[in-house]
Amino acid sequence: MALPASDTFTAANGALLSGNWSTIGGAFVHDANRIGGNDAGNSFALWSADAFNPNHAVQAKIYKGALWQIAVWLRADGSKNGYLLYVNSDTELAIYRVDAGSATQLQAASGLTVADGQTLRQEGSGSTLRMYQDAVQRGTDQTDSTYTTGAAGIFAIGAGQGKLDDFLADNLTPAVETLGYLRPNRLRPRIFAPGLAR
Amino acid sequence: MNSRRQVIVGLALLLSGLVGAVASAQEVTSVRFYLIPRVGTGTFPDPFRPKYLREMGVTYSSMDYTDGTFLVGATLTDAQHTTLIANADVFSVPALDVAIGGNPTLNQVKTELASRTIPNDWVVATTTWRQLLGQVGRYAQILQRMFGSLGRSLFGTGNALNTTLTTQLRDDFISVGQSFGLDTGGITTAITINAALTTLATQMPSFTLSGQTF
Repeated sequence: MALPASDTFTAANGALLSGNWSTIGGAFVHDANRIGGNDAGNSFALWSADAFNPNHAVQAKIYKGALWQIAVWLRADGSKNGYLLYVNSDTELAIYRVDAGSATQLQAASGLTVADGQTLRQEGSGSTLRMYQDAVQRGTDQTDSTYTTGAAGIFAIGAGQGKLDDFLADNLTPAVETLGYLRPNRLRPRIFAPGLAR
Repeated sequence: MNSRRQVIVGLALLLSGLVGAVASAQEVTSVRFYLIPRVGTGTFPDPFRPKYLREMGVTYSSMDYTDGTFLVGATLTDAQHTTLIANADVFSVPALDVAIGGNPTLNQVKTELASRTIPNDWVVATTTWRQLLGQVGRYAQILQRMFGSLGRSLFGTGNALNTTLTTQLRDDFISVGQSFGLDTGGITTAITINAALTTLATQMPSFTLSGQTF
């Protein structure tokens, strides 16, 4: 495969996530061209078909179940380490660091309106993490130096809760890494393939 | 004519009242900085996090010192700030670019840092609060990298700030320092953890927290 990594989750209903993905814990199942957790506990899966640079981005559209309980996963590894952009509630997004599956909430952005079909995106460049909701940065630049490498992935809690669609992940280009102060939407065409932009 | 004028004046007064009500409802917030203890069990319903903030439902960003303390920038109203600092385990920082000054504040700051296993021997009266938090954040990044790249929690195994570096600790600090591109020439088994942290932290670049550069 070659980056960008993308998946629109069009496998048959009930099919477990496989192929380009490695499920690290729990399980994910396809449902109406979306993907969701299929385990009572926490489910982690990372894109294993490509290697990512330390500085990369991951995004997906979100759809609520009875609860949200979903995230995109940055700098993911097989030991359940990395950073999650997690939907805390209908009004709050958060950045979590996961250490061997254990959760630390580093940042919360409250007072938002989180709704079906929105695209959540997380970027990691050096020790700086950023979260975006439909191309608008939420919260502020988050500094954390714990994890420097990994892959892009997804996360869910429980079965039948929130779902993800239109997964997309790619390395950040050198221009983004060195000119990180630029507005992300100006850089969009350089990051993602045409037609798959945020 | 008079009745029309009265209606217009009445509507104007009503509108004025509504605007005032909206203004008071949208209370002014500002970003403030704190050292706050960690709570939580590490599960997603109850993650490790800075104490009090989740329950307040506020926007914040934090840096994990990894030894039970978070350096936090939170967006709060005056009332929320007052509520937060009423907790004895919350250390609040005033205007960032003001010097800490002499005693009793200087001693209080040193005591607060020491109680959180944060080196304090470099803090003097002319140190600004921004410099103080900047150094704390850089210490935190070193501890984070030590955990992330080496899988070791520096203070979780009986070490203290005045512990002299073992060969293993020296190698760990050198590895972490090199991962940040720092000069590790001063990291030897003749110095303490306190000195090793400060040797590396003073070389680290600035970082941002809640929109402020430290």
